[in-house]
Amino acid sequence: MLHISKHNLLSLLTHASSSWQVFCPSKQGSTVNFGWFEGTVDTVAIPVNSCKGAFLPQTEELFTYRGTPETGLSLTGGFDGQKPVLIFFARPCDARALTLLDRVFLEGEYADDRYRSRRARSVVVTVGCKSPLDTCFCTAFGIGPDSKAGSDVFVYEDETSLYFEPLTEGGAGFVAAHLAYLAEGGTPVSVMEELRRAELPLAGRIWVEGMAEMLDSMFDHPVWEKMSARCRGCGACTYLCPTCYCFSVFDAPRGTHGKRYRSWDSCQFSDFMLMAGGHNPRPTRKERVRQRFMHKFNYGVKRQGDYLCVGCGRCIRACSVGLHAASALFDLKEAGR
Amino acid sequence: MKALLIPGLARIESVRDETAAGDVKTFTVQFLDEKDRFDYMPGQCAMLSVIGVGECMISITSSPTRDRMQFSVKKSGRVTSALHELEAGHTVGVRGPYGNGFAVNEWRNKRLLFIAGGIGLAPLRSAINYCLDNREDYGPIQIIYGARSPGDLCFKDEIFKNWPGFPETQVQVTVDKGDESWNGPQGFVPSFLKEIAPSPDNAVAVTCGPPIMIKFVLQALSELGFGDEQVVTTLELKMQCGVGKCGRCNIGHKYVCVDGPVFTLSQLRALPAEY
Amino acid sequence: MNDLREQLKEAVASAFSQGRVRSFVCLERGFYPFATMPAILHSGSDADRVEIGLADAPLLAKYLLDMPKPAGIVVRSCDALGVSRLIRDRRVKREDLYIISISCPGVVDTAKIPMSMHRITALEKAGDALIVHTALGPTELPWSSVLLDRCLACVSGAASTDADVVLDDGRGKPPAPVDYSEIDEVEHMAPDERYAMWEKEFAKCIRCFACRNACPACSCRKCSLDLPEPEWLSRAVILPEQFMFHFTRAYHVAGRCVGCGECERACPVGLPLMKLNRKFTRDIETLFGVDDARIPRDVEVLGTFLPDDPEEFC
Ligand SMILES: Cc1cc2nc3c(=O)[nH]c(=O)nc-3n(C[C@H](O)[C@H](O)[C@H](O)COP(=O)(O)OP(=O)(O)OC[C@H]3O[C@@H](n4cnc5c(N)ncnc54)[C@H](O)[C@@H]3O)c2cc1C
Ligand code: SF4
Ligand code: SF4
Ligand code: SF4
Ligand code: SF4
Ligand code: SF4
Ligand code: FES
Repeated sequence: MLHISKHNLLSLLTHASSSWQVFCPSKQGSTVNFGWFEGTVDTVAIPVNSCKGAFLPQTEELFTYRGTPETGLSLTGGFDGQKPVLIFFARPCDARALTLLDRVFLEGEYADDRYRSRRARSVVVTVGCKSPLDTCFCTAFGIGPDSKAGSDVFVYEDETSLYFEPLTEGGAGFVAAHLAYLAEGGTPVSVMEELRRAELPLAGRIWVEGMAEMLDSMFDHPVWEKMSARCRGCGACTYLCPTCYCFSVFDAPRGTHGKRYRSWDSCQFSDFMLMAGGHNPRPTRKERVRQRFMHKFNYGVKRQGDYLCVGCGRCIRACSVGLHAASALFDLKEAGR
Repeated sequence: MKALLIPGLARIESVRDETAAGDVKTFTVQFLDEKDRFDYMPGQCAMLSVIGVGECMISITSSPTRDRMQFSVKKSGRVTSALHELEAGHTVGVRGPYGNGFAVNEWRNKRLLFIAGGIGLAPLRSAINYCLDNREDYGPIQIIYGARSPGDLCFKDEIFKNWPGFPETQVQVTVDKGDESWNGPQGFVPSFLKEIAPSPDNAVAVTCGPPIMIKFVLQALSELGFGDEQVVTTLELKMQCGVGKCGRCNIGHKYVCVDGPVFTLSQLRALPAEY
Repeated sequence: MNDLREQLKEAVASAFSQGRVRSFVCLERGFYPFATMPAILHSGSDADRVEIGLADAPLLAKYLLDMPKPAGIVVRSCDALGVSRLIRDRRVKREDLYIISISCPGVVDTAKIPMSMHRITALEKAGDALIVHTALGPTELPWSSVLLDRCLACVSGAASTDADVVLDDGRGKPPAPVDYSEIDEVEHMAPDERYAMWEKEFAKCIRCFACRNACPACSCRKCSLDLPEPEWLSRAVILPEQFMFHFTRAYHVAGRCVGCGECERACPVGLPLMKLNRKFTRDIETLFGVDDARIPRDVEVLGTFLPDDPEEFC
């Protein structure tokens, strides 16, 4: 298998960044976050955020306008062919989450042109998780530390080297373009074995089988009230979740020109559904928390054909009051018995 | 590939005040660039932009059988208020068509009952004119319409002059509270409907209006013997994208922007009551 | 420790049985058995759920806003400051509250337990150590190395006295010495360097509002930053808006921040918000000659004009 010594990784990425937009984890202040490559990479920590921002940026310009409705207008779309995206070191959960976002943004009557053009030429390089965190429960969703769904290249990491296994044409292309940095030889059998055996501490406590069906009859269950009482109504969980995708569209005028943007939004915010005239179909935390988990564990299954959660545990780390997918699955299971 | 969230620019050809209070205006628009123009069906909607202020979802009130696209807009918030400031010659953004629209093809040869309140007539008007323009395809058409006061009635030319002139077409109008100019019926739409007591035989009832009116109209219809399959209504939820992506307008697993806004009562009953 | 918990359970149960409260906010065992989370109780029979909170204990004051009154709350001294803040800001009335204050030896920040020790099965305080039990066996860590940042600046771990019930087992953390060295560091940076640092930090902010929503001093019913009209802050997460948000937040709590650190604890991406808050706190202390500006007082430093107030405010 082709491999690279960890020491040379930065030079590979620096080279890659001339033809790719590289999205990778790096240490930023006190946390490790995914972001555009700026000369450093952290291959150890699982970042607090997900890599969805590479395809669905938190804020993106839809167009710039000039003029006014009164005097006439011109719009210029702010999107053209950019360098393809390279996700360098997604985790198996991240890669799988991208396949779920694909169902939202690419399938159905309308495909999202921006998402599609970023995604179409992207290469997702995923590293197997040798040390899952206490918050990881991906195995509940049928994936695991060595899952390859959604990845173009899979990387095995041992003490000194990273072994590249191309999985798709795009992945092979990426590897071929960086042969100068890669050496031939060796199969990381023990790493493969280790990944296969890796156990997740939460796996035994979380249960999703039949969850979607069970929730069909739990819309009015009192458990929502109890669960949501501690929610602070912030956007931390949804913004960091790799499968949450809600956004809003808004204008930012500056005199006779301005921009229209779209930005992530969160169904946990109190005004998310506030309508002109003051009606709010989800007026309290109860409805909003219910929406979040019903979306992930029931509506998503009906609409996208799968749970909209990959068990990455980011919401566990994000929430300051311990309300997250794992606690919800646990409480819902108890309540629905 | 067509950009999903970018509107085409359109020129406002005319603006008509519908109500005495000036809170509803009908805008007739024409795309500046032919490539932005789109075909649509009755009941479908479009995202109207006042560029620099924002977008909002508005039903296309014109029928595709007529040549100009129209929107009737009630002033209710930021974008709708900004729209109300615009005049003929000004530019708006329009993207669409969105939503499922009415199943006008399935209505063929049926008796059609349209029940609307206030601005709720706007989406039905598209279907009504469509059916009237294809008059021979449909059975008798009965239109029951109400508003708070005579001044709040929209599309007065059509409800009083144009529509009653079509064969087998009946328009019955009520107001919550009349004034000196009014000598028609008074009272709320649901009780007016019960008085008229249209027959459910081979009929489709289509209703749109304020939520409270819809609620009681639905009750009245089922009292009159209409089955849930025969009753059609349109829903309104907050929207941002109009294309099923922004995660905003769902009721259960259905998205009002793409699966609706038109639902039969039996479809609605299968969804959680969160709207 | 257990004694304190037993006493607390009793006190909560009797608050209900005596009809003193309709609801009670406290901590309970979280999804991870060693951590705690907020619980809002509605009956005395739930009092068994009450926990002291050894690790990851969120602060509770802000929950009072939406609870049916009279409402009970269990506070450690940092949370008591938050409650006092809400009372002075007229968000809640003292007579609508039933306060049980407890002494506090500090709260463990599980994020400070080294990664090599995850798979935690239980945590235990033993004197000046934290014993971390994992599948591989127990490990001891010095107590002070695993405490939440807020505890490192604690006003006092003794139970606060403005309470209806005071439960103090004498094991409260002694007041932390005042230490502004972190603020000095920032102040001594060259302006460009300092700007670059904040730019980098603010760029990381995802504007999730967890900081604002956790803060007992950010208690406006409708935050001005959420208003569509006038739109002070657009939803665009772009650098100018980030500065706007962070300045607004910091200025709005200036003079009212109780230093509880819940904002920083709630921030999922680790913004050092306390560097801003504590800068203000220190400036108020030096400019207005008050002792510990975190402590809410009847005459608000920034809410009151006195003829001899200093003119400059840097
Ligand atoms: C399918 C559908 C068809 C509609 N047809 C018409 C029509 O023909 N005529 C008409 O006058 N009104 C119609 N509405 C309602 C209209 O969309 C709202 O009145 C309008 O969005 C309010 O926008 P605003 O900016 O003025 O209000 P604000 O309160 O300032 O709203 C800000 C933004 O939130 C969203 N929003 C707020 N309220 C609503 C709402 N009730 N529905 C959808 N989005 C909302 C919009 O994106 C809006 O731009 C329809 C709504 C839907 C969902
Ligand atoms: S669940 Fe937690 S992170 Fe999510 S909105 Fe509620 S408090 Fe914030
Ligand atoms: S809900 Fe939580 S665990 Fe599931 S994918 Fe989102 S962040 Fe990860
Ligand atoms: S700040 Fe003091 S009172 Fe608050 S949790 Fe820490 S040690 Fe306890
Ligand atoms: S909690 Fe952190 S990320 Fe969220 S808005 Fe506050 S500073 Fe920004
Ligand atoms: S700003 Fe932070 S430290 Fe100050 S009161 Fe609010 S949450 Fe506590
Ligand atoms: S309006 Fe965006 S999903 Fe319906």
